[in-house]
Amino acid sequence: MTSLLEVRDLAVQIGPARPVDGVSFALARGEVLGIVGESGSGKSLTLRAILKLLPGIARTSGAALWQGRDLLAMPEAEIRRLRGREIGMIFQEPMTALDPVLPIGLQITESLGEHLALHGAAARRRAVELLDLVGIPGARRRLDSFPHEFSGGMRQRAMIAIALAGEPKLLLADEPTTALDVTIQDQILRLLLRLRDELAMSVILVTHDLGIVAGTCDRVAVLYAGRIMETGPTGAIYRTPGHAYTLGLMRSVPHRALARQRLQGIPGVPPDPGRMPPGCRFAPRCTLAVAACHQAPPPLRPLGPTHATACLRAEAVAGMAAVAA
Amino acid sequence: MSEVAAAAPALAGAATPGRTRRLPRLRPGPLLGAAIVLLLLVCAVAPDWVAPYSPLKFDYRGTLRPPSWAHPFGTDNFGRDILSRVIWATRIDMQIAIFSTLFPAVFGTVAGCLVGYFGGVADLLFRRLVDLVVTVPFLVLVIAIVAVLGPGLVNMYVAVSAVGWIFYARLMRGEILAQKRRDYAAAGRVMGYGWPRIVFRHLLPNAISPVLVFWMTDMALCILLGSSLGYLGLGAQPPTAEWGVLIADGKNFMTTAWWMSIFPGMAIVLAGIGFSLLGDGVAALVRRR
Repeated sequence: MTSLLEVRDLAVQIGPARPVDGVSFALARGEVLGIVGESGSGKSLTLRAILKLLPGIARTSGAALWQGRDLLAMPEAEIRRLRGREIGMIFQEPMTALDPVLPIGLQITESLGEHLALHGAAARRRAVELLDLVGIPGARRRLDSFPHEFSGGMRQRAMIAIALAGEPKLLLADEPTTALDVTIQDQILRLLLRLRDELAMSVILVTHDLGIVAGTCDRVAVLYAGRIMETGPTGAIYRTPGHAYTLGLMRSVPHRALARQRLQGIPGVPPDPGRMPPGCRFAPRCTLAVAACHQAPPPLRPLGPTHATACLRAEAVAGMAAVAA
Repeated sequence: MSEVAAAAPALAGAATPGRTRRLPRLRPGPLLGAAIVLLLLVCAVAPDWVAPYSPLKFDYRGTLRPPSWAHPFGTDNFGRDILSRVIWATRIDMQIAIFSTLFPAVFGTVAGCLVGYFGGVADLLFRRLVDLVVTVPFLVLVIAIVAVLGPGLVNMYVAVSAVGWIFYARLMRGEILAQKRRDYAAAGRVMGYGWPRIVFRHLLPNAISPVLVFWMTDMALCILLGSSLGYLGLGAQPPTAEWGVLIADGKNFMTTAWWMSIFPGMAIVLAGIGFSLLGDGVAALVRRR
């Protein structure tokens, strides 16, 4: 299976800090990959680095192979043609990500004109189809509505419609449901999955919410302090987490099987990106850490055919997870 | 709680009776401003139609007559009808309002967009230029330039344009700096749009409102400036009827024929009030988002 996108050893350097350090993952066509992590773990930076959207002070290294060609080495003019056309992106806050003074319809037809050379009545027709596709009722009437006339969920749908206008092969979703009500969250996630099926589109879903990942993603990469801690199929990671951090994350989420038990948070706070610990970056907060964890950053090692972890104590973690279950 | 709920609709009704969704109710101030500006525009476009007499017709038997039914604003030392001269002067002063703000507003807006969006060396140079210009009073700077170029309206436009664009650019730069940090600017880049589209189609309409308001105020200021220069003999030259020139004409007769300077002066005040009120209205309109 050839990868649509393969990120190799991606790092972002801002001044002395490396908020993203050695991130690698691959994404197949039609696959939904979840990138999970706390605030400041480098999730959003990773997405923006792939599209070369970081400001000048951030230096990016590594490679991001898009159908075999390195995005990071591409000249600006070339990657600009890919943005929106091949890779779309939606944001956490749909209100601020839409231009407040232009009607939704115009913002869709603008993208249609730019990417598909579709103009005038044809573009309007297509815009109505797109609004229909993302489930906005009365699409034809809504073309002339302004962003502030939509509710939060509808705005995110409109944002998705704009992102879909260029018919991208990959949609980057940066916490697309964080700003929404839980019921709306569910609708938007279902919509993304439906679009994945109907349009054969791949999705990278960045979130801090493990519950969202469990319900939507095929595979997961757990990010902590700019490094990938564990990556693998969603089911495998939930059944047998291979990293102490993953286990900690799962224990800090309420679960029916563990009802009426005290939730276990992870003690401490993530490290300062300017002063990362020399060994495993989670080691200072880890209850399972041994001396070796503090010495050198553990490399990713396979636990299964597609399951890998950067934890020296993976076996101990699996044991603890089994006891808990 | 129930009190609040009961009071809310009443309050809303009191604040905005008959308010439609798109068009807010026009307040009397801006409406009055619009009426004044419209009146001035009519005078400027068709003074021969509005004015009762020719502004240049001498009448040596009727010099320095006080206001009367035949000459509501009186006559000057050549027997010319002051009302007609004030009306004809409107044409020149409206020209001043438009010509001395059009280039600064357009060029300043574009320049402000570019330095605001791109920053870097151009922005640094621009900021130094702003520092330089704001240290010298605007009027002094313009008078200095006009004095070098020679008196006359065209040179005044050149002088005002050369300096005035900086204020628009400064205003626009600040707005663009705020707008470009917002997500929709990033979204535009994510969509693969080029910078001209992001800057002029998305950022500019979101940032333009303070500039529009300033433009209206600036028109009033430029009329004052044009009148000041006319008064000093650096702007419009006699016998062209221009409000400032008219006031200057009357200054030798101030004690005997007050009407020669008072009525052109009132025209300036009226224009100033009209543009300011209109500017307030424009500000309210663009602020409703």
